[in-house]
Amino acid sequence: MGRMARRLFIGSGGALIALGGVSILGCGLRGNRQGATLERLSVMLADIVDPIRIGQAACETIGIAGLQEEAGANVHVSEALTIQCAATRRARLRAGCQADFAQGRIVVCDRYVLSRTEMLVAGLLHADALS
Amino acid sequence: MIRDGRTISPDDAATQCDVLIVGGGPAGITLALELENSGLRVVLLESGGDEFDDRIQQLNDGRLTALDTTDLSAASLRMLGGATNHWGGHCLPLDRIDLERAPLSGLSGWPFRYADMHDYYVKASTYCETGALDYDLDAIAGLGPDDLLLSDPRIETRLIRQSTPTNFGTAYGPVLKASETVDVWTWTTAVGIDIDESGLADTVHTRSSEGVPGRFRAREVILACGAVENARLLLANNARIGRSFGNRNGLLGSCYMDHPLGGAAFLHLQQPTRKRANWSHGLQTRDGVDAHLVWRLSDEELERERLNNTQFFLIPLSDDPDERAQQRRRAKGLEGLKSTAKWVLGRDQKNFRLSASYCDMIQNADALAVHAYQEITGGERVSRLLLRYETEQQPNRENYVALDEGARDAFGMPRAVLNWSPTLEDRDSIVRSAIRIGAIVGERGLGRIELEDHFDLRYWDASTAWHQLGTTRMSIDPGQGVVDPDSRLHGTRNLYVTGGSVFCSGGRANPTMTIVALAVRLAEHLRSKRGG
Repeated sequence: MGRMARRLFIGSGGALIALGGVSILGCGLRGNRQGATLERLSVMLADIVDPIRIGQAACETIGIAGLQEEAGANVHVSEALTIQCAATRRARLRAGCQADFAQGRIVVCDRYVLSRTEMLVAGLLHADALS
Repeated sequence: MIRDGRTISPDDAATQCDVLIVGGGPAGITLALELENSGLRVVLLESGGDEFDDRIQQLNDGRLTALDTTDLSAASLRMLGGATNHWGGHCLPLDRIDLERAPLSGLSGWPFRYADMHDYYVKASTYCETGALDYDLDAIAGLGPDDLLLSDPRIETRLIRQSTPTNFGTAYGPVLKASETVDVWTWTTAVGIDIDESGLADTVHTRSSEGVPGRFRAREVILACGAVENARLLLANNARIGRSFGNRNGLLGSCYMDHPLGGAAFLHLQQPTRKRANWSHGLQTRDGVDAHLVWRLSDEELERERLNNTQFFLIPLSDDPDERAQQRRRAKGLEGLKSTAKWVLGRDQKNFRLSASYCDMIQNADALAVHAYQEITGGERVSRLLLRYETEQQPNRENYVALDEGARDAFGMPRAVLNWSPTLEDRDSIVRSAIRIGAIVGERGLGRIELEDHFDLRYWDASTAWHQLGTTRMSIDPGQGVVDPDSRLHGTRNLYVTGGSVFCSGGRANPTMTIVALAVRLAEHLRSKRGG
């Protein structure tokens, strides 16, 4: 009985690990296949204090072209767009914002003190919603 | 002994003394008490008496020519205890950086360091009834990192001790009354000081509240009348005797400072949080003193960013309009409760209306009860906080007290005119501090800072703490200050000035504790000088 239980435990653990590995691989492959879309940045909306106000202010001060240009050069945004898993992507963007703050890449946008990354995301999403 | 200047005329025997103190506020009373057992004969002149008197108080009235949120006729009080009759009671020493860094505006700084003030602050803590000189967070029993909103060395959580608040008049009046070496002359106002060519001040001219002239002779004269009145008396006296003692470089009356205060920013928390010690009422130190917590940027941050020393009170807010209305009702009810309690205790009766306060209290009793319940259970969760600043102001010559030659008080002295406002540099420092806090809380994943929307307005909606500082600033260099490091008026041999007026910089702290500590320090100097 004890031997059976141990085998079952080891077997189910191995199956879980294998399933996790396949999932991660699948996520990555699917992400590459589908390509990056702007909508993927929307996972960050819940982390932005007032996304409409900030997005509007970002569009007005930097302009849509400027936002797109800066987003292309922003490593956090670029990397996030390649991540399929929403939770991982959100965590990547959050970490990017915290790194921005730590490294002084901050901006005051309509009185909010923000990381440049979150301002870009809010601006891009606002522009996307308008189009 | 207390002598009533309205009914007793000064005679030669009673008015000769070793040390004459003008002003019975926290500085003057502390000085008198510190000299009581020194063997020196001390006279303390107080313009008012035990109780508020509107006619005497009006001697303080004067014109404001810039920001008008202060009131010269009410900020300092002409009665025994001075401004401690209506102070808030927040106590803390100046920070090390305040004493060790020269003002950013380029003027000279304090001529001594924190270590030199330590022992005087210990005594000041006793006078202010704030327990030990211990301002570490460890002073609060059971306070751990989890009780704080943020633990980060760049944003320090600092302690303020709450005095009862001690009224120096009622607390120490009985000691002075019983004293055999200190005579307190109430209802006696100083109107002039005779100073000879050598800088020796020997006679102080007075008027009783009824206008009867008097004269007091002393070996040492100390002015302790507050920053506006110290400056007014010295400026008027220099004009009267045709001299410019303490005013070699036109600094007498200038560099007036206050602690501007108002809303700096909102902190939107990433996650709603339970109640933290940062905004809790009822904190107490291990030695039984009520306490509050504030945020401030560390000395290293202030140095690197060249920022004024500013403290931020964290005040929870609600995004829910109904909750905001409830908060307003709670605040109104609390105000009614406080005013009524003060009235019952015999304080703050000037603008008090029992009917209004009582109605405020009763009509908002439900909001108060809910708040009390939440306070007890800690059930309220917070997602937004107001950062309310109280900031150092850089000394500059554009903020000054001068004489208003066109207006005279009841004793014929020119009234004061105060030209004071917070400067754009002060404003920028607050904004930059809030942005720096925004960067740190962002980095730590705590939340986001939204700056207040009033910084483009004239004077940016700043209010004032009614802290009058800096019109007779202390400096070893007569070209940079009005009094020397011993607090003696430059150019004189025995005329001293003490109180908030000698501040070189104001830091973030309520000044009362430092004012008391400086008085203890001056007493030590006078004892040493006179062999007491």
